[in-house]
Amino acid sequence: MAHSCRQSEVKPNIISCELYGRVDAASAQQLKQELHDLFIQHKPRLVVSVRNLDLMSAACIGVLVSFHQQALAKKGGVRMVGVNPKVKRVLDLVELSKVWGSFASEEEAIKSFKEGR
Amino acid sequence: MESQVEGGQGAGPAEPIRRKHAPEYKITVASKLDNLAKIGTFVADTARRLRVDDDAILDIQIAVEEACTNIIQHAYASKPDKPISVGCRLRNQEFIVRIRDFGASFVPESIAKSKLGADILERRASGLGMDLMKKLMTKVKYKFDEARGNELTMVKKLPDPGAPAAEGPVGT
Repeated sequence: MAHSCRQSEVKPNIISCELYGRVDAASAQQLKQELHDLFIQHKPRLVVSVRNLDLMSAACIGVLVSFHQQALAKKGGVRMVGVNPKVKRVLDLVELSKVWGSFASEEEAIKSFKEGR
Repeated sequence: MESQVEGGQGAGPAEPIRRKHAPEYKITVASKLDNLAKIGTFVADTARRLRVDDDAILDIQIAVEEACTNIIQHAYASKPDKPISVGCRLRNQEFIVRIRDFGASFVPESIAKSKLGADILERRASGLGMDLMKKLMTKVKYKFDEARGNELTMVKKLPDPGAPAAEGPVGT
């Protein structure tokens, strides 16, 4: 398992998800299913911690793009926390760094939803 | 099928196969997504052994894993028992990866563009792997041959070892 997703204890419409190690095309399928299950429970805001992620695949990015697109309709989206240089390298190349941001903490990322950024 | 590392035992880089110009390190694995980590580790370990810098190793590893993902999911239509061979060598400050499969060939230009830079709602969730391969590597070249299989060659130009160290894209 290369991820751990849970409902935020303080904000019921926030999903906190930690990605670590490597999320390749194999593990991205599990992530997709888990996010889908959480999404249909009406939690359209996803905070992804990537501090300990070593390899982010195109499949992983595709799962997050798909989630973000569905979530926007419900005023949600995706925010990134702890973007390390390896993850930044990939997100810059696919031009998603600005879309998902780079927050120092989960609290800051959650606050950005309130501010409508 | 089990994975095979030519020239030695185990999943790490074996003793290279001596070819005319530069020795090639090679691994053959079955077409399962679960083998992506094994392929990535093999390529990274080989590059490290050949003294490629860490930033370039990450680029090469991601590009190779994306290429093999495409082979498994598209060329082999997710059939798990087909061979994928990955060969690596270093020549004239270029790290060269050659990936061979015997699945369905395709026209690279036929892959729909993922619309990088477009509004997030217009972006495609698939096709990013091809974009990453092209951006991470210096050259990406496909050759399709019914008899000999499909061959993808990717080249990563490495910095001149004599040149002053430049700021890399990824800190370590």
